[in-house]
Amino acid sequence: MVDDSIKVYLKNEILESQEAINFVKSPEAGAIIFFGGTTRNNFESKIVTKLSYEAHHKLALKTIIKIAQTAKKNFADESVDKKIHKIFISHRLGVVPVSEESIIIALSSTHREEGWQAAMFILEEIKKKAEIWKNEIYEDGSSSWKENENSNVLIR
Amino acid sequence: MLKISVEYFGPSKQFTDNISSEEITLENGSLIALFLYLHATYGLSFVKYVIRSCGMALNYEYIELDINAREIINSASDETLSEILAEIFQAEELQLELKNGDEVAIIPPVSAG
Repeated sequence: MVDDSIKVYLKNEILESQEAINFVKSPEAGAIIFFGGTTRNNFESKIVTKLSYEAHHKLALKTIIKIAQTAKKNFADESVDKKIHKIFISHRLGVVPVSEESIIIALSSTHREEGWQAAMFILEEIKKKAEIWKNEIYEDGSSSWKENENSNVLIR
Repeated sequence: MLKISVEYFGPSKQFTDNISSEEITLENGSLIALFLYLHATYGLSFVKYVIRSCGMALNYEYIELDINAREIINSASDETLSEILAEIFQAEELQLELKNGDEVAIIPPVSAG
């Protein structure tokens, strides 16, 4: 919990989508946007049986909180009554079986437009910057550390 | 002599035989001494990987390397590494002095989401 309007978690258990949606509900908001990123069962014809994530907890939390705060600022415009009210972000760590969520993002906004935009921004920024690493584990027992295409740890 | 801790995350552990953290002793507190340790312990390819592709945090704050460092390091060999490290770390803002108990984290390209 950062303030009343932002919650960020890194956790080893199943991510609770209803908890995220309940948290962001707000009487002034006309939209709730929800994104769940789930484990796919394939990568370039290899069968993925599970994913495993690890994080630099302190840096990852700091980075994700900053992204949420930036989203609230960037997608608000008082003159046209645009506002992001509440944001909930949770990233799972440890083993994530196929078709379970590794990340959920929920937010509420006054109108749908700034909500969609803010949610996309948050996900792209997390993929670029959050200090979290994914290890794909394949059917044949081999595994591979992944690198996001847009990863950028060099420029902060 | 000073003792610091170094943490390795994600793909960088492919170079460290899966060691994720260690306490190390350095002769002095320069970043050059740290990289010479990494060279002696994990080899030239690891030093190149860290400087070219990774971020580095000291006590949870990022150290900004000059963008040229990522080019310069490519030409390093085992013999020329200390000269090249001296060139990279001559920048004033990189003249920092590691202290006893400092925590360094190697931050490889991320794969969150």
